[in-house]
Amino acid sequence: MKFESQLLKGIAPVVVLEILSRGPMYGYELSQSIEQRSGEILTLGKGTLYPLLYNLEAKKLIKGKWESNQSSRKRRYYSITGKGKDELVRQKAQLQELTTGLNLIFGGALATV
Amino acid sequence: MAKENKKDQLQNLPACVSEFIRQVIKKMRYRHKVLEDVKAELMAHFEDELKNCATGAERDEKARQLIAEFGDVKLLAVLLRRAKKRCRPLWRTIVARSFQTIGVLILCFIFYCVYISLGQPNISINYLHEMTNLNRPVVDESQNAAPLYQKAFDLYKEPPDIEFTEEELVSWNDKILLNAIRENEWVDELTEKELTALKTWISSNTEAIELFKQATEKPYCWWERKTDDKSLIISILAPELGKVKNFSRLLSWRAVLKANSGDIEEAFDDLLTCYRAGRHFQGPRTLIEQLTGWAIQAKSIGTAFVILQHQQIEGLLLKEFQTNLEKLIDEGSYIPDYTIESFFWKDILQRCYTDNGNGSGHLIPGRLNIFTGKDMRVLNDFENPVLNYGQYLGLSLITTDRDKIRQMFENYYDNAQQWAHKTPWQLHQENVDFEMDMDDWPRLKQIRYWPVTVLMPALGRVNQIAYRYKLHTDALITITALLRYRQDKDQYPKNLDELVTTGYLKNLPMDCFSNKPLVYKKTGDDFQLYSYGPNCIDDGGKPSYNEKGKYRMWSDEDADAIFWPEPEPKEPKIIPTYSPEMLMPGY
Repeated sequence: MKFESQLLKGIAPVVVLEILSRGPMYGYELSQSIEQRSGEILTLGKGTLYPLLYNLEAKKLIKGKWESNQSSRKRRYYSITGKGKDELVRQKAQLQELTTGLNLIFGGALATV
Repeated sequence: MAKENKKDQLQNLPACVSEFIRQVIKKMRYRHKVLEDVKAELMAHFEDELKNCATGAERDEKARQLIAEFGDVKLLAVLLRRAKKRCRPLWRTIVARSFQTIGVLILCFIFYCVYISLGQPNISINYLHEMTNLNRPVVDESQNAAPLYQKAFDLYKEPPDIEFTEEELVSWNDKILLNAIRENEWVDELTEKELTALKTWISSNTEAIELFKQATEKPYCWWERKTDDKSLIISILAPELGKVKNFSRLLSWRAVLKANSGDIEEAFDDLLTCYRAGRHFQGPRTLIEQLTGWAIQAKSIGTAFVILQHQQIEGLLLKEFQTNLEKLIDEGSYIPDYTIESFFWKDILQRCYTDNGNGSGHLIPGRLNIFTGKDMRVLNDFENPVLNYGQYLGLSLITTDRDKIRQMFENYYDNAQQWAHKTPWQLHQENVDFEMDMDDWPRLKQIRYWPVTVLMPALGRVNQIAYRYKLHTDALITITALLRYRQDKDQYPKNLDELVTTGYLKNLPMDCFSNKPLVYKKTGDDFQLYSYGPNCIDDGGKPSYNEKGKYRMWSDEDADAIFWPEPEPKEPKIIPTYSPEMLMPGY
């Protein structure tokens, strides 16, 4: 199931921050990771991925660094910053509240889906 | 090498991917380093995505699918560019914004310069016509002295060179008679050769002098001034002024020679002729004309002083001379008239500035050579413009607008005209700072009001000069009366009041520098007559000298103006010479 792009756009930053909080990754790896970890429910559009990463970098929530991996290919690895971690906590709390609110509206139906 | 490597890497990707990445990078239009980073990252992404494709076809298919997922190239480029711009540090943003602002300002400046350069003047008033109307009296043209003056000028012969031998000649200037002979000298101060040349010059001009004399008897003088429409009226030259000055010297020297040979009546007649000519250049005329008029009158007065000092003159002749002079002084004018002078700057403003409507009244750089170029040669010696176009443009940008310049000129001329009716003493009492001391202005103001600094004449000085000439004539009349009194009474009067009460003098001669009668002191068998001078203080008859030690009235601001007797010359100033020992003791 693919999400509506507008809906995903709202949660994409927190998803990226969450994934990066588990370790540095480069763009392709990140998009793969999102798909895998979400059971292929969440897919970040390729055209959205890099602008999103650059925006997060501009906000200093993540930072990028060119590194060579084992196959000696140069990749730009992104890792979460301290500020990013704080933001992630805040965003998670908001999501939690959102879920609670939605559950109340849907009479707990969301939790059972 | 690195560039080639990256190019190779791009070639490793399917053609459609390479083209896609190129297009994205091209449309991003951003800093090279950032573009290289984005390009490398996109290449790495595609490589990772395509690495598991077994066949070329599969690879191509997958590539096309990926490109479709990336979406519109232009939109992606815009998003990437926007995101990357947000990434740049604050200092870089400030620098970029500063450069953008500077760029916009430069663009505005260029537009403004073009606007300034393309300005056109609006020449709406023919000031030459205005001048003609003011100058020309509504009377019979046969009463105009100008045609007779012109005939006299046509007949005028230049003075001959003095015939020196090579040994006698100290400087080539000595050969020129008018350089060699000094002003207001008596015959015995001339060398034989100077005297011979002088007599030759006078006799060669007898006919011209007669015509000149006839001209001076006419009631008015009007010269038709001409200029083409493109010229400033300030460029009008008045060739007759130089000629009139020559005639005044000619008449003065003839008067000296005649007085020396005992023909006092004719000598006085020549001086009165010279004085009468001065009247023709007074009233609403150019400043230079008015100054010339006063100068030639001063010349005749100065010569009369010399004659009175050297010759014993019969009382009747003195009385006639005094009466004629009194009559002439009543007819003359000693108040400068700045009406026409103000036409000059008004004409310059209308030709150099745009009007105040669409043109906003700014200085037009292309017209600025009027200030410094050929048209202004009467004001300065510059034959060629002294500034280049860029400098002219700079001045146009900095100088203030036409209204402010006009206002400043108008104020100055209005004040000058108003103050011309006040004596130097009155101005001194009122502590009037007449001259605008432009040297003391801040540099920026000097530049902003540059046309004013270039064109503003020292009218305060003109006012004072006019009063000096009047005073000089009054003093001559008083001295003539005193000499007559002495001839009749065998002594000089106790004071000047006696001259008036006994009918030798119509009025007491008022000193314009003291608001009191001229200072008169009996000194043994002679008398002293002087004015307080420019400092408006009685310095007890302190004379002023030039550097050669010769008495020179008005040369020292802190001295009196002595009319009688002429002070004896003093030792000339010796410029000290210093030995190295004096300058550097112990050297």
